[in-house]
Formats: sequence, C-alpha cells, structure tokens
Amino acid sequence: MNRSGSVDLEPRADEGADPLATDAALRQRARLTRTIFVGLFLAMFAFSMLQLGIVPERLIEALPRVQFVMGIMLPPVLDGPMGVLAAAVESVQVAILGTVFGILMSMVLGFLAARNVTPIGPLSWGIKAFAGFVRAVPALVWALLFIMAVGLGPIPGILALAVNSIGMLAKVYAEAIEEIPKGPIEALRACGASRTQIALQGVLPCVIRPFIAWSVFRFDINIRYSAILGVVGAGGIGWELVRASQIGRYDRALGVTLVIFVMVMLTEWWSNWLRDRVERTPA
Amino acid sequence: MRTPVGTGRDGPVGTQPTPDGTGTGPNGQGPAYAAYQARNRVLLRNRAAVWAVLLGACVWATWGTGFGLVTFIQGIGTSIQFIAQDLLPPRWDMAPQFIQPALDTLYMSVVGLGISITLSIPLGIFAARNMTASRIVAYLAKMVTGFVRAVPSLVLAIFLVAVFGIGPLAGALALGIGGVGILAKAYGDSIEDIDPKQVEGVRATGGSWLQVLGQAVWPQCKPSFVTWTLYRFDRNIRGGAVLGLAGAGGLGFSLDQAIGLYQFGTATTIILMIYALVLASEALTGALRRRAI
Repeated sequence: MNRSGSVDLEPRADEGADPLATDAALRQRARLTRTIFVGLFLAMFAFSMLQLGIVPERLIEALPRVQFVMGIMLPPVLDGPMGVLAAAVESVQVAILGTVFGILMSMVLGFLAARNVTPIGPLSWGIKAFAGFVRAVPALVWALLFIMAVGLGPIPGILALAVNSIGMLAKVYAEAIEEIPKGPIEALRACGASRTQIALQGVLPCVIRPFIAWSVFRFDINIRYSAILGVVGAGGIGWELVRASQIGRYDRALGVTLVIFVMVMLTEWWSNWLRDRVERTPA
Repeated sequence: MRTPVGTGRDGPVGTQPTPDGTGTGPNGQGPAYAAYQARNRVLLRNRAAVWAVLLGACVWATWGTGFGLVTFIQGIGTSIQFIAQDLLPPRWDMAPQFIQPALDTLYMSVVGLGISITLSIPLGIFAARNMTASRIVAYLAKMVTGFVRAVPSLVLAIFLVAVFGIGPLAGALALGIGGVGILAKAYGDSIEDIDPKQVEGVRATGGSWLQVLGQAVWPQCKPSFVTWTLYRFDRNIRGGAVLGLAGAGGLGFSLDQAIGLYQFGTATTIILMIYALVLASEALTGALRRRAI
C-alpha cells in the first residue's frame, strides 16, 4: 500500500531525473522503515504468543470447555432482579459522586497547576507530577488501596474514582487554562480585580466549555469503572458479577452483564442529553 | 456561576442592555435587543435544566450511598494515614520476583493489540458508510462494536477465565476483544471522514475495491489509524495490569495475592512497577507516534 501509486509519477518523468530520483529514494526509505516496524510488531506478537503459551493445541483443548460454559451461560438469568437493580443503582451513584468530587478537587488543583494563573510557581510542577502518577495507577488499584484503608462498600469506590479522575481532569483543566488569551486577565488585573475575581470572571468563562466536555467524558469513563469496582469489593454491580461467577452460575453472570450493558447505555444517553443542552446555543 | 455567553459570540456591542434598565438600546436597536433577550432566556432555561438535573443526581447519590463531604475528607485522611503507615516503604528486595508478571502484562498487551487490530480492520471497513457492502452490514458492524464497547474488559475477563482457566491467555483474549469496541469504531469513523474525491479518482481509473482501499482510503486515514492503535496499546498496558484482579495473570494477579496476604510493602512495589510500565509504554508510543505522523 503506497502513499500515491505510480499513476501520478508517470507525467512527471520528463521534468528531470533528479527530483524524481530523490522522491523515489525517499519513498523507498519510508517503505523500508514501515516494513521494519510492521515486521518488528509481528515478531513481537509471535514471541508474546509463545511466551504466554498460546499455541493452537491449547485453544483446541479449550473448545469442550467453551461448549460447557456456553451451556451454563445460556439462557441468561436474572437472579433476584431487585437486588441486581439496587446494585446497578449503587454503581451509578458511585460514578456520580466520584465524578463530582473529582471535578471539585480538579478545579482547584487545575487552577493551581496552570502556569499562567498559579500563585506559586513550583506548585504547578508538583501538582502535574502528582496528577501524572495518579493517572498512571489504574482505578481498580486505587479501589484496592482504599478498601484496605476504609473497608468494603461504596465509599472506597467513590474515593478511588474521585482520585483517579483528578489524575486526568487536573491535567486537562490546567492545560485548558494555560491556553486562554492573556487579554481578559490583564484587563481585569488592570481594573484592580482580586485573584478570586480574576479566576471567576476572567478565567472561568474562557474554559467552561472544555471543562464541561472533559467532565462529561470523564463521567462516561467512571460509569464503566464503577461497574467493575465491585470485582475487588468496592460495592456496586461488579460484586454481583463476581459472586455469580465464583459459584459457577454463568447464566446469572451473563444476566448481570446485560444489566451492566443497559446501565452503561442509559448513562451514556443521559450524558449526551446533558452535553446537548449545554452546547445548544440559539443563533 | 457566570455564563460563558459574553465571550464575543453575542453579536454587535450595541445589543447590551442600557444602564438605566429601560431595555431599548440607545440607537434604536429594539428588535436586536429583543432577540438577545429571547436568546438569553433559552440559554437560561437550558442551563437551569442542566443544573437542576445535576443537583438532583448529586442529592440522590448522596442519599443512596450515605457519602458526603465529611466522609470524603475522613476517607482521604484515613487513606493517607494508611499509605504512610502500611504501604511505605516499598520492599524493593521483592521486585525481581515480579519481573516475570510484568513481562506477562506486556505480552498480554501485545497479543491483545494484535487480536484487536485483526478484528477491527474488517469491522471498521464494514462499519464505515462509504466503504461498506450495504447499509445493513454497516448497521450490524456498528451494533457489534457498540455492544463490545459497553462491556468492560474485566467483565469479559471473568468469562474468559471461566473458559481458559486462570492465566494470561484469558487476559490477552479479553484485551483483544475489548479493544475491538474502541478500535473498530475509531477506524470506521476515520474512514467515514476521508475526502471522497480521492476515492472517486482511484475508482475512475478503474481501481478495484481493494485498490481503492489501498490507494485512496489508507493514505488518508493512516495518521488516525496509527494514533488510535498506539492509544489502545497504552490502554492495554493499564488494563492488562488490572485484569489480573479477575484471575487473568500479569501484575494484577501478583498485586491481588500480595494484598490478600497483607504484604503491603510488596504491594507498593508492584504498584510502582505498574507505574513504571505505564510510563515506559507511554514514552514508547509517544516516540512511535511522532515518527509515524
């Protein structure tokens, strides 16, 4: 697959050999690099397969097992629908609160981390490093830590989602603030506005749109996380899923999975509605 | 909260209300001002609806989970205490033991990525309106990817562990299938976004469907293809690190075991290794992305 085929090369052939030669050489080199990269990836892929012991025999051996599990799994069963629904509701609540606390903390941290409005210079660097670390450690690992600290239930889940959201939101908020034009800030400062007034009247109106977009996006992510937080014991519907699969009732597990599916779809629809409402500006 | 309306999108300056509040502009701009007012009313109504819904959701969630600002601050306090007392210092002497699980996580991500790409390219092509065989095929492909996207990888892992047993094989497959939800959508969207003129050009010279794909579609969507694929690799490393919590091998499995045995120092070592792995993969994909685009 070539960038542009020989079709457009032919007419240029009589323009002189020199540019064409360099062009061809460049193209040859690009193709070589691409071949090397693709080859490397394929080699790595094969090597990883071998290292993980993924060989055709193992997959064939698993076939009867697939049949067995499928046999149990279908048709899906909703065991104690009210209990499962209550767990799903709890998951949604965990996601909402985790996102809200994440947003609140990130707003403050984002303002402190943006280089152009931060009151203390080094603080900006420190918060960004902290956010980077928090972002790189997965939400489920945070949930495990918070369970160790505060016990089982929805509270460690909310804390984990809030902390994990800070990792992403504080970064993108700070970046949004760093991109605002200088004019309004200087104008406010020249009028003698205080730091809080500058933040509320100068900075916030410029960044409210990216803030909302990112926050809604984060809510979509958090809903997916909150559905699985229960796997480690942090409340919500994930717990129902693990409980069903631990006793080998894969039909119940599939039922819970379908509820998760509906839950994610419904909240996505809801967040789309919110985004629509916010962005709708009559001309 | 201050509205974002006043940022230069409101039309002429003269449509501002007069200081004495009589409403009509000083230069006879009555209709413009009325339109401005009507627009503000709609904006206000939209904003009120959004805030009411948000506030209602917060109150509902707080009431349901018994979680409030006080719990939040208390929880953070307890957690900081726990981190300082139990998690620190990390036990570095245990680190060599976890190099194999870390490599397993890496292998899982690579295999998962390979599976995702292989499945996503045909799905993406079929889901794109301009390259698909028929509308129904496109709809079906979109539905399949949407369904996969709504099911978290960890849930897939639970089922796959049941089939393939505990170990990284289930994890690799879960990452592979889970990636289809994102990659097939991304590929399909980027194919839909291409400039149709180039496609028409190649088609006009008598190019077959495959030639159109190779000469017209691929050159245009290559950058987004590379970006999304590398993004998915990053996600795989993070996802692979936690899939182990469901029994799918890798660093997560070791972490689960260490915490189950209350070996918190060891757990910290593993968490820091996850962090290092994520940083390394981000550096790698960043470098590759700069090279490829």
